[in-house]
Formats: sequence, C-alpha cells, structure tokens
Amino acid sequence: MDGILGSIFSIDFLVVVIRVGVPLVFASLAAYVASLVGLSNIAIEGIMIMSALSGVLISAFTGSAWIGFFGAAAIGIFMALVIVFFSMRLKADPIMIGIALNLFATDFSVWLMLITTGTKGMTGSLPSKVLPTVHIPFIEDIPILGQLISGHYLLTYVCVAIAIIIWIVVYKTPFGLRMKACGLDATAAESVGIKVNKVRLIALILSGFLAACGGAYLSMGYLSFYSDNMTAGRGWIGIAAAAVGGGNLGIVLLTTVGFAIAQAIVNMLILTSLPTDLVNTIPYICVLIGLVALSIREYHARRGKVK
Amino acid sequence: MKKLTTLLLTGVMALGLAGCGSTEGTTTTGTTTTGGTEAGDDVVRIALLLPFVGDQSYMDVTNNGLNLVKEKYGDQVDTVLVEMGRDSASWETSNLQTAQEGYDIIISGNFEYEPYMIQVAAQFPDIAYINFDYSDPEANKEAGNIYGMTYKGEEIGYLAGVVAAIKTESNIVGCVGGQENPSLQNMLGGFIQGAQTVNPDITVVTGWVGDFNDTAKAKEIAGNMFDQGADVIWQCAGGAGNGVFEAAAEDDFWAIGVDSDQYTALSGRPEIAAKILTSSEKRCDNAILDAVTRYMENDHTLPFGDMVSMGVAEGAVGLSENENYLNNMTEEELAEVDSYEQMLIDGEVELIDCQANPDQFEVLVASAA
Repeated sequence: MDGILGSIFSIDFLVVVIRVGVPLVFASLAAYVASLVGLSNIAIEGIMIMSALSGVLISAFTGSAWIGFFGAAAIGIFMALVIVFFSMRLKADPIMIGIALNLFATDFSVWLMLITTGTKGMTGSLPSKVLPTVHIPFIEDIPILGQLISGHYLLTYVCVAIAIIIWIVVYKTPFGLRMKACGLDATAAESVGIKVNKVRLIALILSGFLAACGGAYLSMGYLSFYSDNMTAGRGWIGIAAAAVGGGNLGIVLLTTVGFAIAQAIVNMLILTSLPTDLVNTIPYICVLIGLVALSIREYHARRGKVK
Repeated sequence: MKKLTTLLLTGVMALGLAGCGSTEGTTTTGTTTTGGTEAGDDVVRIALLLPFVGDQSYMDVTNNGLNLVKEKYGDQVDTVLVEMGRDSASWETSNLQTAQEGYDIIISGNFEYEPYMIQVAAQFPDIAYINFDYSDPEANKEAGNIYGMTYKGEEIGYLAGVVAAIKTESNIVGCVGGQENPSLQNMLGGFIQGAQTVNPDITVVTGWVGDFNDTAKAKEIAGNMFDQGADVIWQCAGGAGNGVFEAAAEDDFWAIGVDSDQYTALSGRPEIAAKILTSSEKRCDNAILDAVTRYMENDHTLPFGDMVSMGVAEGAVGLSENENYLNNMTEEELAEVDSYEQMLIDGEVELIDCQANPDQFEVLVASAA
C-alpha cells in the first residue's frame, strides 16, 4: 500500500495518466464538438472501433503507418458524414443513426477481421505498423520535464494541440460563437444568417476525426494490434464526460483527466488484496461525485440569480 | 421525405445485419452433405456444433478434435462441423436442425451454448451427446443422454505456474485474470500452487482486468506487475490478455498464454510472439477424441450422466511445445517441467480446487503475496 502511495506521487504516475488519458480525451473532445453544435454524436465508440481496426489493416497492407493513420481518419470522417447526411439531409434522429453505426461497427469489425486475418479475435497475424514515438531533442535530457514532455506517442502531442486549438476556436473566435449559437437554438442562429448546416458539417467532420484519432491511438501506438472490442467503452466515457461538462470545455477536460487519474490508480490497486469489482467502480464513482458536486454548485448559482 | 429517411435508415440497419449474417448464419462444413442415414449403419455420423471457427484458439482447437477422430477411425466415421453463428438466437434452431438430421453423436458444450444443447438433447434420447466443456453438471445429467467433460482449470494454471517459477530470476511472477469468477479463480489458484510447488517462497502477484476486452488495461496491469519485479506473467484474460503480450515485448519479460497456442496467433508480430514462452492449453481436441474412442470401443454407447474432469493425465491439458518454447528453455529446464508434470500425473501433488472451495482462493493469494 505504501508502495502504491509512493508511485502515485511520482513523475512516472503522471506519464501513466497521460498514456491512459489520451484516448479518453480524444473521445470526450469528439463528443464535445458535436454536442456543442447541437448534433449529438453517440457513434464515437463505433467510430473508434472501425478506425482502430482499419488503421491496423491499412498499415499492414500498405506497409506504412502513415497511410494507415490517414485511412483510419478517413473512415472516422466518413462515419461522421453518415450522421450528417442522414440527420441534416433526411432529418433522421442522430441518436438512431448513432445506435445503427455502433451496432454496425461491432459486428462489421469482426467480419472484417475474419476476411483479412482468418481470425475473429485479434490481428496479431498481420505485420501492422505503429505511429512513431516522439523524442524531443535536448528537452528529453532535462530530468523531470524531459520525462513529462518527451517520449510520448505521436498522437499524444496531436491530442494536446487539438485540445488547445479547439479551446481557442470555441472561446476566442467568431466561429466558436456560431458553433455555440447552433447548439443553443438552431432556428434563431439561422435567422441571423448563420449557415447552421455548414457549421454542423465542419464540427462533425472534426468529431469524426477526433474519434478516429482515439481509435488509432489504441491500436497504432498504445498497443500495436487490434483486439476485438478493444475500445472497451472508452467512447461512451467520452460521451459521459462531454455530458458532465455541458458546453464548458474546461469541465469536460477536467472530468476526463479525473477519470484517467482514477483509472491509473485502479490499475495499481488491482494488484493489492482489495476486491477487484469494487476497485473497478472507482473511476465511475469519481465522475458521479463530480457530477453531483457540479449540479449542487449550479443549483446554488441559479438560486442566487433568482434572488 | 420522412418515408425516405425511414427507408434509408432501414437500409443501413439491414446492411449491418447482412454484414454479420454472411459469416454468422448457420453454415455446415464437413465431409458429407447428404441428409438422412443412407450413409450406412456401420458408419458413425458425428456433428460438432460451434458458434464459429477461426479464432486460432479455443474454437479451432475444439474443431481439431474432429480431425483427430477422422484420423483415427477413417471410413468408420463421418464428421461434420456446424457453425451456429455468433448470435445466440440461432443456437437452438441449429441444435434442433442438426438433431433432426439423424446424427449418432452430437458434440457441443461450453457455458455459453450448452443450455441450447441440453434443451434439444432431451427430445432426442437416441442420439449420444458429448458436452466437450460443460459448466452446469445438474442440467447436463438431467437430460439423460449427455456425457460431459470439463478441464481441470487448476491443472492448466499449475503447468503455467511451474514454467513461470522455473523461468523466473527475480522469484516474483504474475498472473492477470479477466473477469473474476469461480472458474478463473480456480485457474489462477492452480497457477499459484504450481509456482509454489517449484519454489515455496515465490511471490505471485495477482490482478484482474474486470472484463475480457480491455487490452490496454491489461497492458497497464502487466506493466505495473513488471515494475513490482515480476519477470514472468501468465495471462488468463481472453482478448484483453493480448495486452500482456504487448507489455512483455515493451518491457522485456516473459509472458505465458492460455487455452491455445498463442505464439502462432501472433505470427505477424514476431517481436511480440517471441516473448510468449509457451501457452497452457485446454486440449479440447484430445478430450473429444477420448470421448469418441470410448463410444467406439464401448459398443456405441457412453456412460451418460457422467461428468468427467479431464486433465494432464488424459492429455486434455498441456503446454504448447512450439519452437519458441524449445529454443528458450534449456534441457534442464525442460526436464524439470516434465518432472513436475509427472508428479501431477502420479498424484504426488494434490491441487486445491478453488471452484469447489471458493474461500481457498484468497488463502492462496495471501500465501504467495
């Protein structure tokens, strides 16, 4: 137990949190940008599954990790476009399309694995490639900072960069305002001349790309193969985090990081004699507590306004 | 417009279903396609029902049982594999259809699909049913025409534990389980006992993923075990366990597989496969051969209602002796593994069954901590 406390307050632990947290941050950002413009994307889990698998397959057949990654991103964007097409052109309920895509991805991925590898469990028989790990020269030699900043998977840096860009776009640019307007009231936004469909299209393409990055991170960096259902609910955790934060990007990211920290602690507590099933609920309980705390705060804030 | 939406949405759904349907519908492959019993009375017709094959693991090993039977009995038998599909909704129909086609022996099993077999078996008392991996002994006995087999999970774990304890240099070994349940506890309990048989003072770190999917989590857990000093780690966590192999390749420790030869399943990733020392296999194929042999030699009947446990002694549990294993184990180490295997067969080692004695698992874990 002392050993665990020791390892939690160490630089290695932060590195683990980053490693565990990146796919979750990708998922929650994907959910966040979609819900911000008022078009729910609940197909994130399905997009992650399809991208994780297609990244591995394409990289194995072309021999290039980059082509694999762009293929994965293309699949993710394509699936997001399916949501856009059906919901905006054909006025279908985006939730229904999301369910359809999730169901489709779960089974189609198994079928795709079967025809390409002859197995349904994993792609270990294919020589797939992984995206590079980035070692920043000079910085990596600085003791603590080097360990923290250098030596991560490439997509980790992409994740941080995109999170910052999204923050700037949403909070500092007119386009961000338009995105929020579309989410708050599409008709009103339309009436003041905002092209709602165009804004939503751009947001959903970004959402699909982000979810695809989350999937590719899992199968082309963190791990180097695809294993059936390896996303293991990370897409849903992202959706939950986006729901907790509502329109507030800071809270969305905070929730996700909190969940990642809890998960990293769980991975260590699992090796102690504590009951596993109980330990495994810790991340969810943490999010629940956060959610309750948040709504209490909001409740008080609202009452304050009324007075 | 709304109609078109509905239509297109239905289309997407149907496409999704078709995607699975093409592989998951009931398909029959085998040496004969003719129905009825015109093949002759002296030919024993055997059908094996599995949801699917091609996992290079459990299903494929089981399917190999048919090949072994065919090899041994040649023209005396007709073997057919029936793929029931992954959707449980079709399992009862598949069972019913197969039974109606008049087979002499129908083989199926496993906790997931045995209920469907049991239900149908009761309606066809003339067919000899073999459950190659039963889980509910009472229900199987009740049907009256089922001969059930199971694998000594504690022996599967024992073999892995023996190899781990022989190979470790730090005297700390680890085992990663999937979802904590009595049968997996039994396997991990066997691992601890195997390791302790070799070295009573060994430390065994135990960890549970919590499900059978989360590959990344299994990798983190294995990494944490390695940080605690474990240098040989056994995985018993289904698909999630693949993460243990990834960690083994990254941190450079030995991993041991389970159920089937997992070294061959990772043939495309030699750098990962090289770290899989061996796998502790459930040899469902040998068990099926054993059961069919009993049937053939016992006047075409089986001791129905018997639920037998197959282990190392019957060849139903064993280590994969692939090139990687043989190259990385010295002659002495191999001889040592053999001697501990022989000790089990000779009854010199008494293993605790943690499935029957659930409270014993915690005791074992504590004794090796």
